[in-house]
Amino acid sequence: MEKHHSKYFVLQSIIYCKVLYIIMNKINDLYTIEQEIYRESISDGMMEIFMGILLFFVSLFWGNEEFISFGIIITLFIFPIIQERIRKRFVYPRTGYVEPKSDDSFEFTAFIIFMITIFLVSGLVVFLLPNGYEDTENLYRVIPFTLGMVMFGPAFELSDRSGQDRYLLLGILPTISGLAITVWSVSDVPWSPFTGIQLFAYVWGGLFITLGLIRFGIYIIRNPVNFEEGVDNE
Amino acid sequence: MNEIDELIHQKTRLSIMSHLYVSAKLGMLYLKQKTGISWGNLASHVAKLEEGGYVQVTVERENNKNITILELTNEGRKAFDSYREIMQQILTPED
Repeated sequence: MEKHHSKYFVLQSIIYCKVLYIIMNKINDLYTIEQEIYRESISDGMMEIFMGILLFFVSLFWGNEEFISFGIIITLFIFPIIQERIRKRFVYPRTGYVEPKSDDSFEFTAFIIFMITIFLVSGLVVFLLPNGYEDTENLYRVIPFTLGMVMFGPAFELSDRSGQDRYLLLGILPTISGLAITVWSVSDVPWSPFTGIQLFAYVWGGLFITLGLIRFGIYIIRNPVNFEEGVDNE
Repeated sequence: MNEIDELIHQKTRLSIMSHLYVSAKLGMLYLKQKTGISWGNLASHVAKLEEGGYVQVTVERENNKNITILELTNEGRKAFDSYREIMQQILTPED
């Protein structure tokens, strides 16, 4: 009888340890789950399309100032509504509704250091351009480079929250191309400094929209709607 | 020591709670794909968590179909925090 009891006790302990092991893994895995949820929330390409449209409006603003109010209304108010309609129609029936936690880790000090760094590096680039600060057009010429560096903000955020370093390219590539346009626009190219800004915004706006549409297409192909279970019909 | 919360201390419900804990809101379909269980099973576990006041369920109607969205309540968040704390106490070896 006692032998039977001790066997039962050993078996129970093993099962209990296994359960704890599974649970411990789950608890330690919360950060991974959070990153996975964030990745899922941006897998439909909508974010890239949004960034592309924003850059397009920067371009339109530089070309025609009356577009500014139109651009702000479209991107900040109308686009999220359109985006939600598209997601309800195409995304939620495929992979389900996903809303990641809002980022509450915003650090004001880090933001200020980031902005000061951008300001100082841009200032250094202006200084290094021919005629430096004497040529006031250099202050406009440097804007593509500055915009490129600003892109590091969302790039860092995306990389950190998704756990994918490739998002850093969204900061690196615009910075390099912004610097190239800045340097190029002081050569013999018959441009006004504003053309450089427009070129940067149009090219990156176009690239982001194209990338977003490709991601959206891939998302649709990879995640077909399950007509029986795609959305619970109650 | 506090008692382990039996409502959370189950593999599927722990998985549901973990996902909801690190998100703002999640759809049933997403959770179904992540947990890999059937609709019926998932609905039954969600109902238990809802009865316990840990999860809030809202249903949105779109294109004649329902989209069920889940969100952790404050009570659910607190319960999960305390569950994690208890489990860590149990699993941390004493000196």
